[in-house]
Order: sequence, then structure tokens, then C-alpha cells
Amino acid sequence: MALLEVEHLTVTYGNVHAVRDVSLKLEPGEILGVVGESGSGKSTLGYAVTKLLRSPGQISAGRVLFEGQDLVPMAERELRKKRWKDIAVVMQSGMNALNPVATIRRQFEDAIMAHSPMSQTKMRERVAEMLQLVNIDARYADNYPHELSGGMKQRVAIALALVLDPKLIIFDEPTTALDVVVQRYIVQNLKMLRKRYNFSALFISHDLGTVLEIADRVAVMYGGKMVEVQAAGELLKNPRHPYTEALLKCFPDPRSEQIEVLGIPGTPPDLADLSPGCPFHPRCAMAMDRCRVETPEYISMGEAGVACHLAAREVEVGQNG
Amino acid sequence: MAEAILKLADVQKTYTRKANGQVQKVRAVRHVTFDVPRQHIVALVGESGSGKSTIAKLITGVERADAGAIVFNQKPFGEWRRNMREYRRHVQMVFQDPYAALNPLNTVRYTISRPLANYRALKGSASDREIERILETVHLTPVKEFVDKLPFELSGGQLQRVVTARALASNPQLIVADEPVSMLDVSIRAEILHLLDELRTKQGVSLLYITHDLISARMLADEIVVLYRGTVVEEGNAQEVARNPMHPYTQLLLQSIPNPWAPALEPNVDLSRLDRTSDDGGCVFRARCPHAMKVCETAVPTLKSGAAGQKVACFLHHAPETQEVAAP
Ligand SMILES: Nc1ncnc2c1ncn2[C@@H]1O[C@H](COP(=O)(O)OP(=O)(O)OP(=O)(O)O)[C@@H](O)[C@H]1O
Ligand SMILES: Nc1ncnc2c1ncn2[C@@H]1O[C@H](COP(=O)(O)OP(=O)(O)OP(=O)(O)O)[C@@H](O)[C@H]1O
Ligand SMILES: [Mg+2]
Ligand SMILES: [Mg+2]
Repeated sequence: MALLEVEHLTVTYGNVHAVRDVSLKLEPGEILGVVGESGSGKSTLGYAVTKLLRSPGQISAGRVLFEGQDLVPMAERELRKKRWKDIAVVMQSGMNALNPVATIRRQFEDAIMAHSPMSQTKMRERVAEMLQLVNIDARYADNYPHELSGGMKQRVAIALALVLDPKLIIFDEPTTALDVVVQRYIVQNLKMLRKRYNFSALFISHDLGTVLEIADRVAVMYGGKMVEVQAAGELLKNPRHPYTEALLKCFPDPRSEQIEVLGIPGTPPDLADLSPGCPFHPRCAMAMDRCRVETPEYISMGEAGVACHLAAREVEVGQNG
Repeated sequence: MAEAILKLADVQKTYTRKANGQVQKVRAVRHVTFDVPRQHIVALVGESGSGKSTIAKLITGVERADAGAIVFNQKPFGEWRRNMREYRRHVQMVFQDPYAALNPLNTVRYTISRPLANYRALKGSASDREIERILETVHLTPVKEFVDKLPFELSGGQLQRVVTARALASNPQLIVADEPVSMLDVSIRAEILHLLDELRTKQGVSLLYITHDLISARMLADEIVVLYRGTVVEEGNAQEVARNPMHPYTQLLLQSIPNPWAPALEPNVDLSRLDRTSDDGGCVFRARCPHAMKVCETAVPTLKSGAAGQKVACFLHHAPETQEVAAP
């Protein structure tokens, strides 16, 4: 059974439709990357899965099955038991999510005491062990967050998410605010931790380079929709959706002789607009008449999928030939 | 090479702060020397805490250097101090976070009209005409659609263009841009990088581009200056430095860029050394350096010309001199 199954999820903030009919599946131990430009609905998707949406955010349709159980109708009291213990979240700018007036140790102890209490001695050991996991000297346990650098705080936030051994972790831009060396370090560290603890993760970021490095599969969002899902290596070699292709071009191989500043011309779609048509068509170099009037269906092909009229044709040809 | 519009010579800055009841000294800028040639784009590259923003603050006069010289247009900063208005007119700043840089209650028109009135005494229709010209320069067109908007009605990229437009309003000769794109996603990033490049080519503005991203530095800049813990460790032609770095720290920066095209080729970054520091004399990078030698503990390497044309401060590339060995 899949650990997490999101079915036809729609999330609205008033008349803003931030996540539109999104479905995805996450197997135990799998890391699914979620990429897309600013405002495409990545954080909204992540928070909807834990039902931590900010007001006036609302799940207006769909199901979120965690180990087969739908979280959408579940009472807040029940959910609270699952959060952190089963599903942990590392928030966008997680390093600022640490409690500024509590020592690092206090923050670990509070989490442990709330969910699975243990003796003081055990707890001391556990805190030291968790800090060691993210390569932070245990003597920092009695420091306050502001006494640590940005990269260290972000690693503490990750260790905090891991402390109760959750099955699923949602990382929302865990590395975006950090410099490249620390980013690199955290990605390596996460890969190692996943091997050891076998958690699943949704890894949300607008940095496609980092996502391709850490994720098993990558989901590409555009205008609140999931437009493509593929295994990371495949996505890199054979992007199916023109948006994915355009996005890939923005991340040049750092070894190449010539590198140019490339972006995707045009502006992001208006999320209050519900008229039919592909959300990417105004910026798509390959747009056809049909794309302007008919919303492409998300075609699922097992582990992968795409929502594009042009790609759908190629998929059919591929299957028939 | 073009004459220097800005020269920094052995600039130093130490902050004192209180932590846990103790007074701590932070040597944010140790010994920094570099030039910005006129109409060039120079990238100042380094990790968080390396002193990039402090250098920007020293150049723009927000903070005062403890020692060393900052020379703008052949005139030392001390002389400009007597006429800061004139200095600010010529040297403008663009900040990292466009969302925080603008007053949420001011329209685009008002934001840009302030420097026009302050520095160039433009008012009324003359001001409006100039606002229109500047908004066209930063591609906020049709101008009519943007000029009366408030910040919340604009996207991140549009906001950063307003911030840039405000910096341009005084007709500056030098713009210091402190991480102008790191908050923005790739599309908007490309937009702003193109704009900065165009300002140099079409308006003749010189630019100090501050970033931790070696790739965008390579895309935009003519020269790259690499900073580590307040010290310039490598400097030279942007293509050379970004493609064939000589200093082990610059090499680490390059290796850290995610490269899904060649994951197998990349050596891992050594995890155990990340938080190590060495503040007790010797090379500042020593504690994290995979090639550290005995001499790196006792002597401080200075910037010297290396084989490929760039300058590098590292004993792997040149033997220490007696004066370096004697240094604290
Ligand atoms: N609390 C809220 N109230 C109203 N609208 C919101 C709220 N939070 C998000 N939105 C809107 O929902 C859309 C999706 O936002 P979301 O934060 O999910 O995007 P994102 O992909 O995470 O972007 P970023 O990369 O900038 O973090 C945006 O148009 C945003 O303006
Ligand atoms: N006002 C201040 N008082 C005390 N210490 C300071 C002050 N401003 C900066 N520092 C310290 O000086 C050092 C350099 O900081 P600076 O902001 O210049 O780095 P930076 O390279 O811009 O980093 P980032 O990439 O994180 O912006 C850091 O150790 C910082 O903590
Ligand atoms: Mg987000
Ligand atoms: Mg800074």
C-alpha cells in the first residue's frame, strides 16, 4: 500500500484556486520532489497534506489518504497525534521556525514529552544523538537559536523533524535561503538519513538542480496543477511537458563552456481565473489552438504522468508503435 | 583595463557585540583590496557571513571602516564624507529582499519621485517624464499600467525592478546590488540579471554584484572576487575563476553547485569540516581545507598572481615569504 495518496485535491484561498485537482502517490521510503515557480501552489500542497493551511485556505475537494486513512474529514485532535510523530514538517524558512526563547535542548524535549515521554537520561542521549546526525556538536544543545548560523539552525530544524522517527517528512524549501556549500551539505546529509531511517518525503523547492539530486521522482507544478511527474533521471533526459523543458534550460550544466542567463518569458497565470485551456499556453512555444480552449487531462502512466495535449499525442504514438 | 571607479585598499571592519554577557569581536572584513573598473560588473562571491554585506555597507557609507581606503572617482571616502548627498547620488544600492525594500503604502510613482526631487530637483511634469523613462529602462511597461500601483499589486520580479528603478533615479555611476536575485525564482532571476547587464551596456553604470552563487556571477560579471571570512582568497577574470578555480575554497564553491548532469563526477563535500573555523592566525580557510599544510598554521597567505592569470592567496600556489610567516 502507498504511504500517502492524494486524490483530486483542490485547495482554495477565497476565489484563488491555489491547488487544482492534484493527485499523487508516495511509496514508503520514497522521496518525491515538487518543483514549480513562485506561486504555483507547492507550499499549499505541502500544508494541505498535513492540514496546516493558513487562513482562508480550505480543502474544497479531494482526499488525502495516509496509510489508507483519509485525513480530510479527520478531527483536529486526531490529527495532532499524527503530526510530528507520523508526519513531520520542515517549514519554508524553517530556521526561523525554531522557538527563539527556548534552548535547542528544550525544543527537542518538548517534542519528545508531548508524544512519547522518556526519562531525563534517555532524553539527553537522544538529543545528543539527533544533533550528531546533522553533524552539530552536542555542546550547542544549550544554546539559543540566534547563537547558531543559518545553516546550523536549518539542520537543527531537520533533526527536530526526525526526532520522533516519522514515516513522512514534508520539506518546504529547506535549502533555499542557504548558501551553496551548506545546501550541498544538507542534501548529502538528508540522503544519508533517509538510508538510515527509511522515511518518505515530499521535497518542495523551486531549485530544480537540488530536487533532481535528492528526489527519486519529481512532480512539476504550474498554476496549481500537476503538469508532469517522472523519475528524476528520466525527467532530466526526456521532459514531456514544455514547461518542464523550459525550466530545465534555466539550470545549465556548470561545466559547460557557454552559459547563458535563461528564463521563461511571460507572467504566471492568474489563479482566480477558472476558464478552460492549458494554464501554460500563453507562455508555451508549442501552443496549439486546442490548448487555448481545452484543459489537458492529466494522463497517468503508472509512476509517471503528464498533462499536455502535445505530449499526450506523443505518448499515444509511443504506445501504438 | 578601464580606470577604476571604485578602489578598496586593505579595508578592515571589526564589529563588537555582546553575547552571553561577554563582549565578542567579529572580524567581518579583515584585509580587503579590489577595484571595480568603470563600466565593469564585478561579482563579490562568498558564503553566508563572509562579509559581503558589510563591504556593501562600507561602500555606501552605512558603516565606517576601521582602517584602509575606499576611493570613489579618485577621491577618498573621507573627502566624500563632507558631501554625502553628492556621494549617494553617484553610488546607489539594491537590496536582497524586494518585498522589504519598499514602503507598502507608497505607489511606484511616489517611490521613484523621491530621489528625483532629492538629487536632481525634478518636480511636476519633468519628474513624470523622467519616471516614465526610468520605468521603460527597467521594462515596467506599459508604464501607465504600473506607475500608480502599490507594492502588493506587483510580483517579486516586478518589485525588484521598482527597487532597481529607484536606484537608477539619481543617475548613479555605481550600483551596489546585494543578492538582488537570490530570493527570486529562475524566470524572474533571468529577467533581473538581463536588466543589470543592460544597465551597464546602455547606461554605462558600473556594478558590484554581491552573491553566493558562482554560476550567476559567471553569467553576469567581468571579474569575480571570492571572499572567505573577510579575506579575498581569489580574484580574476570571471570565466577563469568560475571554471578553473585555484583556491580550495573556490573549488569547494564550484563543487557544491548541484549538477544532476554529472552526479557521479562530483566529489562529496567533506561534511565534518563545515562548522570548523580557524581564527588564531594562519590561513583563514585552513580548518576546512583538504590540502592544509604545516605552513598554513603559522603564515597568512597573501594575494599573488597565479598561473592562469587570476590572483590567489594560497600556499599551494606560491611559497610563503618571510614577511607572511611573521604575520600574526
Ligand atoms: N494565506 C493565503 N491567503 C491568500 N492567498 C494565499 C495564501 N497563501 C498562499 N496564497 C496564494 O496561493 C498561491 C499559491 O501559493 P503557495 O505559497 O502555495 O506557492 P508556492 O509555490 O509555495 O510559492 P513560493 O515558491 O513563492 O513559496 C499564490 O497565488 C498565493 O498568493
Ligand atoms: N551589526 C553587526 N554587529 C555585529 N556583528 C555583525 C553585524 N553585522 C554583521 N555582523 C557579523 O559580521 C560577519 C559578516 O556579516 P555580513 O552580513 O557582512 O555577511 P554576508 O557575507 O553578507 O552574509 P550573508 O550571505 O548571510 O548575507 C558575520 O559574522 C556577522 O554575524
Ligand atoms: Mg512556498
Ligand atoms: Mg549579506
